[in-house]
Amino acid sequence: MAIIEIRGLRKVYRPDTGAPPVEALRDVSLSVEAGEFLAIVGPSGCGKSTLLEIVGGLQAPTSGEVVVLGEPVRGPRADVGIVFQEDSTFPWLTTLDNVKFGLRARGVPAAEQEERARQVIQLVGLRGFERHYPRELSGGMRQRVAIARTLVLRPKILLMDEPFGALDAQTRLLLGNELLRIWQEIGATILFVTHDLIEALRLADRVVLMTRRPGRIKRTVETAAPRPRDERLMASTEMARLANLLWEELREEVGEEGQG
Amino acid sequence: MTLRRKALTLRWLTLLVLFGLVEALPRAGLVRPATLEPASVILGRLMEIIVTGSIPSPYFARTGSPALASHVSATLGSILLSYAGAVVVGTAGGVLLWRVPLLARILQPYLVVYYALPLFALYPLFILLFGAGFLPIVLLGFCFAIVVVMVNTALGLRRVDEEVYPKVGRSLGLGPAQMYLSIYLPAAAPYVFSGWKLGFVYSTISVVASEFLISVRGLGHVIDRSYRNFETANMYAAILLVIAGVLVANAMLTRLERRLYRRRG
Amino acid sequence: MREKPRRVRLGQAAVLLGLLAAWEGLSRKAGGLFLPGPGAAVSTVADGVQVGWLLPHLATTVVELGWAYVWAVAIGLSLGFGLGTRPVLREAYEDLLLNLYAVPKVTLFPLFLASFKLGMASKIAFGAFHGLFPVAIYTWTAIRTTNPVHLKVARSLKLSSWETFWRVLFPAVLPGIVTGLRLGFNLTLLGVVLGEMFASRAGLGFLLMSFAGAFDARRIVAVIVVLFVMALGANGMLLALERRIRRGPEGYLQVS
Repeated sequence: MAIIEIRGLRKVYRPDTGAPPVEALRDVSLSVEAGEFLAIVGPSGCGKSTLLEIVGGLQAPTSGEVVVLGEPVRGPRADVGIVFQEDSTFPWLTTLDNVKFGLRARGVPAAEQEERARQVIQLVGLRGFERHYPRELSGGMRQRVAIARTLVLRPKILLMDEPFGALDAQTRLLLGNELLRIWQEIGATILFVTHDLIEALRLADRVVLMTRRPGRIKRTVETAAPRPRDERLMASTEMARLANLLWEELREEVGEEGQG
Repeated sequence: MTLRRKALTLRWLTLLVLFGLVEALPRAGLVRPATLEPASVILGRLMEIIVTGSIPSPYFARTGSPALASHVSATLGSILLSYAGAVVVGTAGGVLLWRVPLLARILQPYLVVYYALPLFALYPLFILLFGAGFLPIVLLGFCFAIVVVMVNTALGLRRVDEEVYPKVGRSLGLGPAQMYLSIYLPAAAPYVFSGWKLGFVYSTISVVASEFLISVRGLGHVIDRSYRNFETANMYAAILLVIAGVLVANAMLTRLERRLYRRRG
Repeated sequence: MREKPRRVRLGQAAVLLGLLAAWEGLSRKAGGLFLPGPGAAVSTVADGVQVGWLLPHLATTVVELGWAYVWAVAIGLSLGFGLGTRPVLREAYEDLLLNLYAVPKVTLFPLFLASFKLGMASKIAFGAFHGLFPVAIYTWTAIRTTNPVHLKVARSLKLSSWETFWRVLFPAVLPGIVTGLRLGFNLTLLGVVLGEMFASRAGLGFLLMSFAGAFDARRIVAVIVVLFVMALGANGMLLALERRIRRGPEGYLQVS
C-alpha cells in the first residue's frame, strides 16, 4: 500500500482581487512507496511547490484525492515534516531552541526535548552550535537547523521544497550527500522538489518530471542506481542517458514560451 | 581624515557655532533680551528651576502653580494617558485590520488621508464641548497617535504573513494561540514597536502643542505664559527641558526598537 | 490600476455615510447649539462667504500656506539632495535632523515670532519649518536607496551626466520625493494653522481661536469643515500625482 496516494489532483487559484483564476495543477496522479526517495522536477511555475504544500496539508486541493498514510489529507500532520526553501529558522531563537520548537508546541517534557534535540543536532552535523543564533550561521547551516527542527519530530514523510535552492553549488552538493546519509539512518519517505535535474537524479530513486503550468506529470524515470552514491556516479552512461532524456522533455516544456 | 571623523567634526562645529551665536548675539546687544537670552543664562536658569523645583516668576507665583513638578506631571500625565489609549486601541485596531483584509481595503483611503487633516483645528471645538481641562488635551493626543499605531501594526503583521514563519508554524501543527504567541509576536514585534514609537512622538507633539494654545498647567503652558509675560529665560529653559525630555525618551525607544530588529536578524 | 470590487466601494461609501450620520446623531444629542450637525455646518459656511467673514481669512491662510510650502519644498529638497549625495553631510546631520523632526516644534514658535514679528512671515516660516522635514527625509532616503547597479549600467552604456541624471537617477528617486512632497504639504498646513491659532490676527486658525473665545460652536465647525475640505482637496491631487508616478502596487500609500 503506497504511503502517499494522489489521484486526479487539480488546483485552481481564484484571487479575490478580481484577477483571472490560475490553474496551477491539472490531473496529477502519483503513488509514493514507503521509504522511497522521490524527486519532483519541472519548469518554474509548474506547480511543484503547490503539489508539495497540498500533500503537506498547507493548502487544499480544488478537486481530486490526496491520501497520506491511509487517510485523506485534512491539514498538517504530526508525522509529515516540511522543509522550506527560504531560510525558515526563527532568528530570535538559538539553534537548540529552534530545533526544540515543535516539541515544545506539542508539550513534550523538557528533559526529553533537550535529549532529542541534541541527538538530531548531532545527526545533521551541527554539534557545538547549539547556542548560536541563525545570524551567526551560514546559509547551509541554517538549512540544517530547519531540517533538524523537522526531523526531531520523527516524521514518517519528509517533504522538501527546494531546500537547497538558496544555497551555493558546493553547499548544495555537500548537503545533498548529508541528506542521503541522514535518510539512510532514519528511513523516512522523502519527497524532494528541485529545479536541478542532476541533483534529482543523483539523490532520488525515482524522478518525476512535471509539465509547465497547468502542471501534470509528464514523465517518470527510475534511477535504479546502487547506494551509497557519489559524484562519479553521475558520469555513468546510464545516468547520462536519463539526464539527457529528462533534459529533452524539460526543454519541450520550457521552450515554447521561453519561460523558466 | 576618515569620513566618520570629518562628519563628527562638522557636526560638533555646527553645534558649537550655534551655541556661540546664542551666547554672543544677545550679549552683544544685537538681539533684544525679549527675543533671546544668552545660552549660559538659559542653562543657568534651567539648572535653577530643576534644582529648586520651582519657576521663578511673579506670574506663576501669583496663580499658585510655580512648582515644576505640577507642570511636568500634568504634561507627562496627559501624554501617557493619550498614548496608552492610542496603543491599546490602535494595536487592537491594527490586529483587526490584519485579520479582516476587506475592512483594511475599505478603510485604506480614509487612513491615508487621516494625517492630511489638520487635526489641531479640532482642539478649540473640544474645548467648547468639554471645557478647558485635561480631557480635550488627552482626547486630541489620542486622535493624533491612534492611526499611526494602527497602520504600523497592521502592516507589520501583514509583512510577517508574507514571510515563511507562519507556514512553519502551521506545518508543525501549532494552534491559534501558539501561532500568535510564538510566531507572530516575536516576528512582528519590531514593526509593531516602530508604530508604538511613532505614536509616542505624535502624542507628545499634540499634548505640548495643546498646552501651548489653551491650558492651565503643563510644560507647554509654562512656555506659553513665559512668552506672553516676556520672561524669556524661563521660556527658553522650559523649551530646553521639553526638547531634552523628548530626545531622551526618543533615544530610549529607538534603542529598544533596534534591539527588537536585531533579534529578528 | 485594478478595479476595486463592488464590495469595497460599497463599504467605503457606507463608512462615509456612517460618519456623517454619526455626526448628525451626536449633534442632535448634544443640542444643536453645542455641536452643529453637517447641515448646519454647510449653511454656516455659505453664510460666512456671503456675509464676508470667511473669505478674507481663508485667503490669508491660503497665501501663507502657499509661500510656506514653496519654502518647505525649496529647503527640503536642497537639504535632501545635499544629504543624499554627500555622505559627509549625511553622517554629520542626519541624526540631528531626525531628532529635530520628533521634537514638538511648536515649542520653538516663540523664536519664529520674535524673529519675524506678528505678520504673515512668522506663520510662513513656521509652516515651512514643519514641512521641510518630510521633504528632506524622503528625498535623501530615496537617493540613498537607489540601486548602485543602475549607475554602473549607465556608465557601461556611456550615458552623459545629464542623461544619467535624467533617465536613471531622477526616475528612481522621483517616487520617494513625491511622497515626501505630499507629507510635507500636510505638515506645512498643520504648521501654518497652528501658528495662526497661537499668535495671529488673521487666517482660519485665528478664526478658530476667536470663535472659541466667543463660544461660537457653529462657526468653529464651519471653519473646521473648510480646513478639512481644503486638506482633502490638496491631498487628493497630490495622491493622484503620486499614483501616476508610482504606478505600483497599493502598498505604497504611506500614511505619515
